[in-house]
Amino acid sequence: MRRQAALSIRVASVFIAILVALPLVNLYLPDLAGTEVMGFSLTWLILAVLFYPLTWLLSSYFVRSSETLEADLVKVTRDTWGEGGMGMAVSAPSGPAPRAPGNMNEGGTE
Amino acid sequence: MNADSTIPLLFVVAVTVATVLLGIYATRKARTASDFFVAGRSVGVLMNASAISGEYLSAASFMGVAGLIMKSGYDALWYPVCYAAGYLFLLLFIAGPLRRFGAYTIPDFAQGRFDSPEFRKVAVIFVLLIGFFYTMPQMKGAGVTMSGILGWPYWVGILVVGTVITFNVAIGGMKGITLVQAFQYWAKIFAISVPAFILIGVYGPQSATPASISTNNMKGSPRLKAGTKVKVKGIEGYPNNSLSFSPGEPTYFTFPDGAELAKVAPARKPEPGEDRIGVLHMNVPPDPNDLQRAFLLRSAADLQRQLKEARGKLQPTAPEILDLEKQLADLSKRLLELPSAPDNSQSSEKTFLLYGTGFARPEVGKDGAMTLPKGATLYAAPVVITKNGEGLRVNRALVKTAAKIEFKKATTVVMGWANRPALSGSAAPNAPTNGKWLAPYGPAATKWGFPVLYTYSLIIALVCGTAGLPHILVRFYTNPDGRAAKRTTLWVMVMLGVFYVFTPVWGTLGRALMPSLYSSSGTDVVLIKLPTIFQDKTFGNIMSGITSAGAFAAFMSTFSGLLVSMSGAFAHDIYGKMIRPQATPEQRISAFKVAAVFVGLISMGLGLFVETFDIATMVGWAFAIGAASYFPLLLLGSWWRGLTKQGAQAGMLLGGLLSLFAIVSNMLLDKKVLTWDLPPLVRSLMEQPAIWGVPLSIVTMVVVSKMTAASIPADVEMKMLRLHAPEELGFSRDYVN
Repeated sequence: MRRQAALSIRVASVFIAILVALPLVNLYLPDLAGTEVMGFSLTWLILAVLFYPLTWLLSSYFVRSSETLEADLVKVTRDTWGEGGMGMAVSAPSGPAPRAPGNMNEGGTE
Repeated sequence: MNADSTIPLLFVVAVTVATVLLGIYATRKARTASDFFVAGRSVGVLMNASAISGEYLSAASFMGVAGLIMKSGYDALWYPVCYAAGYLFLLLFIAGPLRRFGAYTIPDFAQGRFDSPEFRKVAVIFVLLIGFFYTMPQMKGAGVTMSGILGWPYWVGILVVGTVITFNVAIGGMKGITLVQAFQYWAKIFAISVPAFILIGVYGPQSATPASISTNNMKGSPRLKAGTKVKVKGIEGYPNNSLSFSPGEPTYFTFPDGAELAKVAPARKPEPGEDRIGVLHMNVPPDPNDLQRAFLLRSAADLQRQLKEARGKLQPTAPEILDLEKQLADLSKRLLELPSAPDNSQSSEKTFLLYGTGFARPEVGKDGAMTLPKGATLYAAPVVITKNGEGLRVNRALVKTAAKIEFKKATTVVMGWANRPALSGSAAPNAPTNGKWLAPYGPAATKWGFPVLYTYSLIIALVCGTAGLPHILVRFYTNPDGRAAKRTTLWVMVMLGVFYVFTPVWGTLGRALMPSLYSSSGTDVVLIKLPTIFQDKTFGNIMSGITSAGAFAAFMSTFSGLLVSMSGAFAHDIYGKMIRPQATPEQRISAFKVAAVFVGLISMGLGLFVETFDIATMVGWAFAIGAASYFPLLLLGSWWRGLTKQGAQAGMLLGGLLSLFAIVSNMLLDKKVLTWDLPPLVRSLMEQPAIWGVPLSIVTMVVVSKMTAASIPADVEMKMLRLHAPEELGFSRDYVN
């Protein structure tokens, strides 16, 4: 969960940085924002067109990384606990905490 | 009804019938309670993504965004971008956990996360609040579209659309809706793209890029031909009952049916210390060429002054000087082209806004109110703003304004001087100049003088608000697992992006090809009206029929989703959990159907009252309330162990209700129902409350949770596992019983 959160926050920071930066560029660098590109001004082109593929890239990166993380987690947990999963074990909170990397008790009750 | 409206009507009927038939077809398969509420959780990724996109693309997205881009230019681009980008936040923080938690609705999540049936009630209140706010713009969209294409009265459109959708939801539940919503996404993407490509093909690609409008000159604006007829609204349409004339050139216009003006004032709000600008009413008709000449002479004198200053500082070949010389040459050419006239240009020496002719001196009330006879012709002259007699300058250019007329009664305006058809057209009233339209921080953002604050607040509301819409969140439960929920979100973003790319295209086409929509305050219907400009009327009607059908699909799909969400809240949360927990699945299905009819009726009733409100503004209410209530709950509830019931409740109520209060008060102030005297900063924060509402809600949640840390649920670790562990590990379970 911590690694999932770190991934989410990493992708979100890139996105938030862009969202925060564009109005600032418009405000402080109007000449740069107004540069003409293919008949559009640069800032029009970014906001009206380029922004969408950018969010696609970010989200597809996130989905792929997130699935890899989860696959790792499932594999590691199965190796540690066997095919039945660990649902039964953890429902008893005093059970031994697995030590495998990426398991979801990281940063939890330990 | 005439021949022109038959074709669009056929398209609208076709899309409606297809919707209902699909609903009936799908109902045959919906049998269990689980089918009704979340479609049995068996919907594939692409199907579900189409359905979410179809549900999300509302009247606001289909009609409102293109209209808003046409009206406000760059600043409005944030709407489609953030509507789509909000899904990234959903994907990163909410989609997966929410699905894995295994609840049907947000109230389920609220109760399940905190083991508190009491919290469920708070959450249900917000489902209904946000839901009803969001249905109002959909209803308005239905009303104005039907009156636009078919000439139906506003209420008939609402009644017909509302009844069809309510019927469909009541018989089909959500299983029907999944198929229907998916169908409607594809109908909408077809309707927004195909006519746009054809328009671009016929009227040239240059009309679709904003630069084609800018390259001429940044101070210019779209023009109306002399003789263009514009219908203006009366006081009942406030604040859309006005015409603001171009400060760049004089505008002539005639009232063939007469007019009752409620107010005449400078379009630019006067600042302290500036000289008063008056309204002049002539009973001696001036020669329009004479006034034109006086205006040109003054502009020329001004240019000569600027040129002199510039020559003192810059090289003779500097672009600024060349530009001024070119402007001066143009002016001289226009002066020479004017026929000679008697020497009585004294009228233009005064700083007056409006000249009239063709009628005896009218009674002028406070604020310049007056009644004009049939055939009266007026002339709106640009006026230089003065301070103690000195012209006001910004960046060395003189600041000018022109008249803004508010109408008391609806009437028709004909652009141009009736007796002199030779006069070329005029700048379209109400249209922002190219410079203001193209550049960031234009008229929409600078309304209260805090453009940067306004822009950021808008971004926060839309991005966070998307994650806080109950009718969208419930859809994530139709994914088979958390992984599918994430993949679905990715596809939703692709589908929405492809759709939203077309909204600036329509806004730009509208500005280039049909600027009369500015003057009639009809930019909201640009998608419906623009296709009718084709030379071939039948072809134009077919195109308009396609976009009308798309608009119809838009409010049908969103209203269906909201109806399911709200009826679900009634049937599942209020009836199934509070009133009769022992109810059988059959009883719950009946309760759902009854609730759907009940909610549908209330929505139609509310829709009747909002004709004068902006579609986009009303959607903004829903987004801002969602951003300040559900978004913090879902974000912290999914990721922070320390969140307590008390904290979450306090944050949701404080942030959500204060935002609601600010927005409603601001609207009432705009409509002059309330007359509080508030500073512009406060008004700006009230109009876009997300910048304080969202942090307020989050901070309250954190602070109250810290204070009540003792009541953190004992099994919070187990809950976190259920939210985040992959399904294979076996922690997920259906929360619903």
